[in-house]
Amino acid sequence: MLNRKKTLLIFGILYLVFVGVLFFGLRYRLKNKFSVEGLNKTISGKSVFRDTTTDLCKYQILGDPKEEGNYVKINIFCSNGKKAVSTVSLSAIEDKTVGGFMAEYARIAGFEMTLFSDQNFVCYLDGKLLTDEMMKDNIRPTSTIDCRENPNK
Amino acid sequence: MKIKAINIFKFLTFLAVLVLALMVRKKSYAEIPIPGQSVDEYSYSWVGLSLIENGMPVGISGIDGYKNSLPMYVNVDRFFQTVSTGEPLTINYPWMDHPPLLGLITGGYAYLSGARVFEDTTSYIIRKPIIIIGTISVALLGIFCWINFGYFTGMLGGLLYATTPLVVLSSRMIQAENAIIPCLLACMIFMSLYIKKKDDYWLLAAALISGMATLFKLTGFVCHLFVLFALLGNYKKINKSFLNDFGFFLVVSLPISFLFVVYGLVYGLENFMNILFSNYNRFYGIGPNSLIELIRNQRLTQHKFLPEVSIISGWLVFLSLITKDVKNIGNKLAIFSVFAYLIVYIFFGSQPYGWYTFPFWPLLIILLSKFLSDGIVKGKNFVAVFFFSTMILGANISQIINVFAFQVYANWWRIGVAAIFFILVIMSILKLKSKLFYKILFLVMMAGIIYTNVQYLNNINIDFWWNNIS
Repeated sequence: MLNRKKTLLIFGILYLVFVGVLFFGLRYRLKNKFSVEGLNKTISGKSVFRDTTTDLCKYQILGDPKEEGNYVKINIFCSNGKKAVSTVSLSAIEDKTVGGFMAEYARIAGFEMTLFSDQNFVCYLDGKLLTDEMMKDNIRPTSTIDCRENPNK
Repeated sequence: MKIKAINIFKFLTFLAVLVLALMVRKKSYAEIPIPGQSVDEYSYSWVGLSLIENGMPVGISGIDGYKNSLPMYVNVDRFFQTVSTGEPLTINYPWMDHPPLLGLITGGYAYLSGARVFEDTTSYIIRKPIIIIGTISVALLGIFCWINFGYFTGMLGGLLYATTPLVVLSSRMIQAENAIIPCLLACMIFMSLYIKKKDDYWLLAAALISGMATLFKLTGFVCHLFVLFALLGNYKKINKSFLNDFGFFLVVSLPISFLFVVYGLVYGLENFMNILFSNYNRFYGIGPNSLIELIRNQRLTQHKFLPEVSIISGWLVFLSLITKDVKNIGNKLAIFSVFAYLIVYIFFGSQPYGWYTFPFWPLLIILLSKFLSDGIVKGKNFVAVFFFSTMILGANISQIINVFAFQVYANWWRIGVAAIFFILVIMSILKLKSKLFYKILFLVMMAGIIYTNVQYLNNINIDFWWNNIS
């Protein structure tokens, strides 16, 4: 049989030591390890395990965000007939310029943004040809970006 | 010598059941259930990973009360391509929805496997620890049955829990309930040993494991409630012995549960309290019809159903048992556990997510196994045992071959099942008993159930998932 009083005493001492280590250990780590930049890197960093693609029509974002009027549609049409149609919530985009939006879309889909130019994609923002200058402009909610691969360019 | 050989045989067969449990859980574990259908799986792992990597718990929540809320697309497993609703994830920190122990296990494993960013936490990595935990649950269920009902029930319970398709699929999911299950089963083992042997070590072990259960999720308090019922059931009144035992149990278990508050204090008491109270006011989605839904619809996620006849049979056995004066300690403890979790389920109930019901399933399998093994070994309730066995086997067969393909065997089934029912009913009326007949009949049926369970599991691939699971 166990001596309950003695057991509880030992348990109490071990417990207090553990609580101390836990509390001060966690506080120390929080103070020394935490930074918003580091956290953003952990949250949105690219995975070494994930395949990156050179096919811009391979992946898309399914569904539609619930929040009305705060999204941008991006449609990518490849020369082989494939297409990727996505709607992205602007609430999840930190850099709200056209270029920032396209860079974030490329990160989510898992390809390098330079592939747009490398693979001769021509993009239109709400029907207007997207130029390098326009990439710095803020993107208008509910706008649509259409990118078409032009192998003859 | 002979006894030693028998014990070795028993141990090896038990080990074989665990190997089977691990194999069926491991097959296609990263694909089924489809990653992203429950983003909680990622959230738990992210909490652990971010605690290790950044010193801050970060996860998906969406409940009110968080100061830091980031809508983000984290396309792990490319689930935005497969099962997404299009909505970005709501990432919150410091994440306090639940205690962090499960996150530390899965996120810690991911970290050891090289994961450093959220996108690294693929199901292929993070589900590995949970299938080990699932296999431990099979072992604990088998041990509980073995201790309380004997070797044969232990094996049958282990085999049923190892192979029941819905249980196998559910045990691949990173949900706190899958970690609470082995705690509850261990607690049941310790309490049955305490009641039988009166050795305080078992009560101490139950207290330690009950405290640990609440560090997975607050619904781990089911263990505390279970111990309360078990001690009351043992002493049958609130006397000094009961108060001494329960007091000793609480003095050990509650401080362990309190570690969650200590953890919360590190990241701010106000934040911790806000989230705790937001959690308390959650939408009561299970609704007033939750009891019939528990019996009628077995869910994996909120919208994925897979009616599981073994679980439904377990509920029927449970209902029949609570109308009787149950004497067997094992049965009593299993019934107390069902009631303990039922109270927790109704009290904590929020959205009708399937995983909230997972802890019922091992308990129901225990009751079903005892009921079936009594039929096989002693010929008890043989008509009912045949009824349940036919129900489970028939449902399994219908999942493996469709009704048109079944027509080849229809006459065998029609004549065979009808004739056996006829014979069993006559035997029951005339009070005739033939243990050999029951044994052969039910053992063949049990073998059929286990075989069809495994076959059914083999058939569940991504196509089957989309086409057949509503």
